[in-house]
Amino acid sequence: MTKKILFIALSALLLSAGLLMAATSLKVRVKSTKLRRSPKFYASSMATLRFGESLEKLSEQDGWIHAQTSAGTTGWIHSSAVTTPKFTVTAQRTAQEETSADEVALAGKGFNEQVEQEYRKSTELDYTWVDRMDQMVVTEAEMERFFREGKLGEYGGGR
Amino acid sequence: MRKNMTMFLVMLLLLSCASVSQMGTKILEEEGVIDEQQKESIDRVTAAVEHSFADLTGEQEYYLGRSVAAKILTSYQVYENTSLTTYINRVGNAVAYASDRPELYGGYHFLLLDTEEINAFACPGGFIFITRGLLGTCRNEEALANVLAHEVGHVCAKHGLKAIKKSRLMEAFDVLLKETSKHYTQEQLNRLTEAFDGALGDIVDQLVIKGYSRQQEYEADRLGLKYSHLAGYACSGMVQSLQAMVTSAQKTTGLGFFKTHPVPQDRLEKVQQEIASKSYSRAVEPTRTKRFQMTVG
Repeated sequence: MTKKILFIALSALLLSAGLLMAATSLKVRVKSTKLRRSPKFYASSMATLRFGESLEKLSEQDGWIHAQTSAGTTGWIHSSAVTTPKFTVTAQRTAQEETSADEVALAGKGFNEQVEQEYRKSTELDYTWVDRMDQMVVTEAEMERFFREGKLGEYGGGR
Repeated sequence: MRKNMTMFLVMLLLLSCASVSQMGTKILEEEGVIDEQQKESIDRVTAAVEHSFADLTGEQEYYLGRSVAAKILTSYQVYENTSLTTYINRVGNAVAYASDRPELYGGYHFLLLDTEEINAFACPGGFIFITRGLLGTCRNEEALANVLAHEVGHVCAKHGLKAIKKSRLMEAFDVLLKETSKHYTQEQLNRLTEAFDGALGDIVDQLVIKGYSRQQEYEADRLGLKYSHLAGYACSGMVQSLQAMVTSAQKTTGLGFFKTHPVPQDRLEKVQQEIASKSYSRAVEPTRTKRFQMTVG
């Protein structure tokens, strides 16, 4: 009996070890984001990343992840923009990562675009301004200037 | 020793299992108490019940937020001013960068509503509205940043999503867990759309009619101060704009913002305590005040 339990437990351990090795694999969980030159939101872009895209984690620093795309481009991405695979088990896993673990697996499910389209058939709601809001983008260059001129973030006393 | 080892291994085995409840249904199935179909049904219902607002993905939050925003815009006109809207989006994103959720599925977007009413709405997914009346209580960029950071705080703490009734989430997760394909049948779509409609009603009711709880407002104040400070802003703007609200509240008859927010005097006291306890002592930056005056007037 003990031998049987030992065998199952060792299998579970081996499985966990295999999953730990896969812990460096990340997926983008937001519609679109940038891989940045340095760990700042207003740093210049190295690549545009789309939802579900895979990245390899190289290192981590203050909530920012140094990562590499499948095309070999390296840069920085904030940890809130990526998710670790569902079954990844690490001691350092944050609460944010816990709640986001199913993010990519559940992509397009539940309250999605199809549901919004169906809902819109039954209402006269106007989404014109919502769509315009969606398209409002502040570029890295304008935010860098905004921070610099306003002495914000690294240019002032912030982070 | 051998007993301890066995215990350890059993514990390890249990921790390796996906769900204890699924183990239970598996045993019942093996014992012939339930059949395979019943097991799957129980597992799905159990999983649906276990889900909460926190399990909604960023994508689902985004689609809920879009429709909540569209509903709010049925009651308010947009104040169309490109340079002002751009400026508000820059200030809003500056504090959002310093927040606990800087990267949302669709990002943060800020829009000004054309009304003298002092009010603001933080829809799930980062769609944030502030009124001209609320902007009018801000004397500098610090105050505007503090106000927007408070709204970002509501988004980060998922206060809007917390208003969704459990029954809507159970319905949505039941369909979601049952269907493996991303394209739903008409029957599944009807169920999801009904749950979606109900969830929108719950959120709008919370945002517009009932307002957030006092505790949620205090939490948004605390987070707003934190995000403002981390971005590099002085937190005195929050005190100044709350003082302006106290004065306005005394003049109004309890409509709009004051209907849905705790008495500004209560918030003001807590904000002053928070600023003192966290030593948020940064000074107002004149160059920021100058650009605020040039843009807002």
